[in-house]
Amino acid sequence: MNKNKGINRDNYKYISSLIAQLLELDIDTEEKITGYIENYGVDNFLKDYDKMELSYEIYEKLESLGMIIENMGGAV
Amino acid sequence: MDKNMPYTNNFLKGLTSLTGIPIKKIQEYAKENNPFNILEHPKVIEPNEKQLQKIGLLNEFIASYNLLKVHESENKIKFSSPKEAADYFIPLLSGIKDKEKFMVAFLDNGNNIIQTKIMSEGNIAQAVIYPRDILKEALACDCKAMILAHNHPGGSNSPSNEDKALTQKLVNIFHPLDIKIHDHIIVAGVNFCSMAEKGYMPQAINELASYEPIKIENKNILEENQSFNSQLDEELEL
Repeated sequence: MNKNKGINRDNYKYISSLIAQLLELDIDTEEKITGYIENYGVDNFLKDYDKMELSYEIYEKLESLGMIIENMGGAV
Repeated sequence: MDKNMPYTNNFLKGLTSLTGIPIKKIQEYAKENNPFNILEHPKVIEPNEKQLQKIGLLNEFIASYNLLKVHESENKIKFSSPKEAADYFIPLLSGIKDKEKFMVAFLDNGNNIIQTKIMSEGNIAQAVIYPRDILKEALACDCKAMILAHNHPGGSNSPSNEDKALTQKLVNIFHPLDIKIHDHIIVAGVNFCSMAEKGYMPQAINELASYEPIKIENKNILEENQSFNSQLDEELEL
């Protein structure tokens, strides 16, 4: 459950749309990711996206995103 | 460039995969320069329009991610004591007078809440708990610990023998999986009882795990109902 009071749904929708544009995702996958991020937070999403049923291609791109964040100093 | 720069080949591969800039071009640049410059000053690598747009998106994503991550960590709900767990569950359970509600907070390694779920809603005197459903949720969110909570609509905040047996049955399931059950909070109105505080929490399994549904009954209410019904029957017979 996400109890983050300082974060509203628009923040999560925005970051989800950035992921969708970056990874060139279809609308269904984008909505799936938005739902996950709204429930578990963006930090948990980057740690646990392998728990979502996504295609291998998307999984690989998310792995790349995780690598970049990790190297930029964000512990994923 | 400094050989101790905190990046790995993974960063270069990630950049290639997300922006479409050829890996050779990035590696060539990284031989003499800090590859993080590519994000800050993309033109150093002479990207085409699409690659430039992708770097822009990546920068926006990194900025948003960092901001949201800080907000999330500031707002995490963490349990450090039974009182904190009770303070969390009392508002969720105290107002319910017409049914028993059983909830579980699934926690990470730092006892931060990953998610809280209502696992059963019964009637005023009883509720049925399905251990399989709790197990399914626990595995799905990869929790490391849990705190159980339910309300006693009857008003007594003492854990019944059934409450203790239920806790033991769940420990029998989760202990072998290395998922700790820290506490079971009983909420009655604005009062609570922490089974951990009272020393009632089972420390080990006492039998093999059973996944059969578990019924918890509020005996006081059942007895009151029975006595009321029998009194009513007697009056009707007269």
